[in-house]
Amino acid sequence: MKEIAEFSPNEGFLSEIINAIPSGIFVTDRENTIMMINKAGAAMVGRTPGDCFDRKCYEIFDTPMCQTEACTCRKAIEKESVNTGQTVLRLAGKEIPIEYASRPLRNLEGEIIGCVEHFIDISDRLEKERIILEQQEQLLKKREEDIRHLQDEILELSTPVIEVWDGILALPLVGTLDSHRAKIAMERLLEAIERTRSSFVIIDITGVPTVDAEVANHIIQTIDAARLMGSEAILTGISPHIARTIAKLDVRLGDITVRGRMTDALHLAINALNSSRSALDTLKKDLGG
Amino acid sequence: MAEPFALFVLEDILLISIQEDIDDRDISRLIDRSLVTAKEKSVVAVIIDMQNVDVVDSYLASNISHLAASLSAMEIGSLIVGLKVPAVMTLLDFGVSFEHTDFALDLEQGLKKIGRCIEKKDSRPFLG
Repeated sequence: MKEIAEFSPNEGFLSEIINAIPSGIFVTDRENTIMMINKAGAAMVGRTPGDCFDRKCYEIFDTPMCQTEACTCRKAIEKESVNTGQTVLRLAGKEIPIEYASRPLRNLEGEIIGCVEHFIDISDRLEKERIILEQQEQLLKKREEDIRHLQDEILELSTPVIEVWDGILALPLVGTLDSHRAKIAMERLLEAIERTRSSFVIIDITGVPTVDAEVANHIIQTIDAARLMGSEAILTGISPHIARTIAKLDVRLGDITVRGRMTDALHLAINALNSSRSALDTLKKDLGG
Repeated sequence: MAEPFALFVLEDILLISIQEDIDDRDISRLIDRSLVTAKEKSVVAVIIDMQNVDVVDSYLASNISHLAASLSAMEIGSLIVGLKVPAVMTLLDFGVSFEHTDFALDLEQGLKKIGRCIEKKDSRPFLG
């Protein structure tokens, strides 16, 4: 105990230094009695070092962990090493966030006689951290928005429905088809069919690099949808690579009209359109003849 | 009360027009009367006009499919016309198979399709 007593407050150069430190430092014995405290530590709870001397530390400082298992001094002494953490200091109805570090104090014989605790007010730091976090979140949100916007833009760009002829639509698919894109392409195609009353749709997959079972099913579903609308779909632009995949996947292409090039598909559709006459015309002709 | 469907016979074609508010009882009556009329008038094709139907439920879908299959068994072609986009999306989701029928955008295109088949001397078009 003698060693601590030697550094009693207001005494000597060392205590001047300790008092000059802007954060709180105090020393307790094993029974939590304050043996020494610096000015900043006492000032944090609106006291002077003289007020605090020889009183229990939990009488001076009120934190949620005082007089519990979590007491940092108790922990430091038990562990015989440094114990650090964060808590709040309750003062006049307010809570000041603090960060603390405690270390057991030994006498010259090496036995633990108490604990040194150092603590700082981190309200400013937490406030800054909160602001940084907020800004980060805002940035992330903005980036997500940007990405979503770009994705929408790409979707818009990548599924154009073109009227190539009276009553003939073309849907050139470019890039990889996922479920989302396939669904959007299908909806846009159906809307275009309804709007333009086109009886032929040419789906061109020259720009699709690879086809797996999922993509093949999307294409077939789009063709089915066009059929239900009353429009005939012609699939063109199947590359040798995709043809092999389709053969391997055993996808049913039997009832789908396939042409090699877009030109062939156009020929087929235009011829079919030119030759079509109303059943009523035929009937009239039959009746007349 | 007016029925939510109407049958017209135009020469060799039976035209069935279905209205929005058709209920389950009306659907079975529609199927019966369509099949009887198709047989009586010995038509070659039946056009089912769905352009006034915005919402297709599974019962209507399976019954229309059933009607097409029955007509096909009687060697009568069937053609569904005027399906709307939401109805198409629902039908795809239901996965109802329409193997025995063909589709057209509207009545006019439907008549053209049948005309094409008649011209080709195929008197029984659209048999699945």
